[in-house]
Amino acid sequence: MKIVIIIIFVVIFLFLQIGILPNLKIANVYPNLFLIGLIGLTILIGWKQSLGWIIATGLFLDFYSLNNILGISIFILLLTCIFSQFLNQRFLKKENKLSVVLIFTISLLFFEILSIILFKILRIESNFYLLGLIVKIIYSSILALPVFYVIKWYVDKIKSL
Amino acid sequence: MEKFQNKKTLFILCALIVVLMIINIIPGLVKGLGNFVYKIFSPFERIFSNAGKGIVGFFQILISIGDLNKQNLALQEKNTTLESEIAKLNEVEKENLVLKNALNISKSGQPIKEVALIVGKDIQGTQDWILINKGSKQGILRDMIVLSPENALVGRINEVSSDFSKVMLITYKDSAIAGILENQRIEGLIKKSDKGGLFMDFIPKTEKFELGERIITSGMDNLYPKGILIGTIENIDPSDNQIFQKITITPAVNFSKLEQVIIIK
Repeated sequence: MKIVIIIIFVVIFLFLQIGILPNLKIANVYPNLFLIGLIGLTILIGWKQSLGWIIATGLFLDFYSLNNILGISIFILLLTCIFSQFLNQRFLKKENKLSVVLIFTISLLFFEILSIILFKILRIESNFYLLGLIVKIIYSSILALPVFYVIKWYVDKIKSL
Repeated sequence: MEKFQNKKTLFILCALIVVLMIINIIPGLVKGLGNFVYKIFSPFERIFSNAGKGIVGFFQILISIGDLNKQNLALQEKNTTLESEIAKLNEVEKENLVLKNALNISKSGQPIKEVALIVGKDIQGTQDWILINKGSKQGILRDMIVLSPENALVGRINEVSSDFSKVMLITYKDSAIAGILENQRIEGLIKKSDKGGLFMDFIPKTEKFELGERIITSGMDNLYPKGILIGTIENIDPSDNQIFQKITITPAVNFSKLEQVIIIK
């Protein structure tokens, strides 16, 4: 039963990311649901418990990127998840909607900045442009709350089994 | 218990670093693995992509139903004019097609290497590249030019594995294409704009041109052959600059609806 829920969950996320969101672009960008999902999972169960998902998602994103250096996305996702857990534990202890959105927004910004810095250091080409970055973070933050509650439902369901 | 958990996490991370270093160092292993991953995921990606297009398209039709009547009348009028022109052109096209097939050249005059299906796209939110189902086994090489079925410029091959290739789109941030206005013959570099579209800069203010004029490749960059359609003029921005003006370009290719491409030598 657990595996069925996980598969359904993964298929829904893949479908939304590959099928739906590319058709709903704003300023030529759309959110990365995998990243939003991982941040949500980290807030709820911590980065150590999410490590398997971080590695799987990171590898998948690395294969589906232009640079094809395996490990970069895992590294960036891992640091982002640790950072979002740190934010969650230290600064935003109350679980209200605004706090959750704030954690997401700051973590998404952290992810983008870290990606830009790392890509510059490794001299990897990146498609960064300021307007795209701003739109992507706002767009992702809007989606963050519903995704967070879907993840919460998933975590509760898995725990109850 | 927590100590055990920490040791386990540390062990997983160390093992991961070692494995990834080995994979990245051994030549060709990443490409080989990539090829394997694309083979598994590309069918699912196509299914998801097509299903998504269908769903979004359905809702778009529902939203735009009010404008359809007006558009319908305008199109009927246009249709009558075009019908007569099509009849004339059909005969010429048939003859042309036969000759081109015999020579194996595309409509823009370039030799066709392969026709490929798009089996994957950038899924991280910026759509910089597409994945096609032809690779080194089919003779695809890096920097080959990729066109849409209508012969408009899509991009060029960036990475090749045995069965798949990644195509860097013309809307990629660092791409710069030498272009020329088809009628006015004004040359310039076409780049990605901050809004995600394309623009052509440093055009003298003395030059006059009309919205909708076609822009084609000039061949001056030695990357793209001359005469391939890039897009049309969408907007002219005179800006504060006293000498130059800038034009915004609508790409001729709708990248989100593209399903098939032509690769030329």
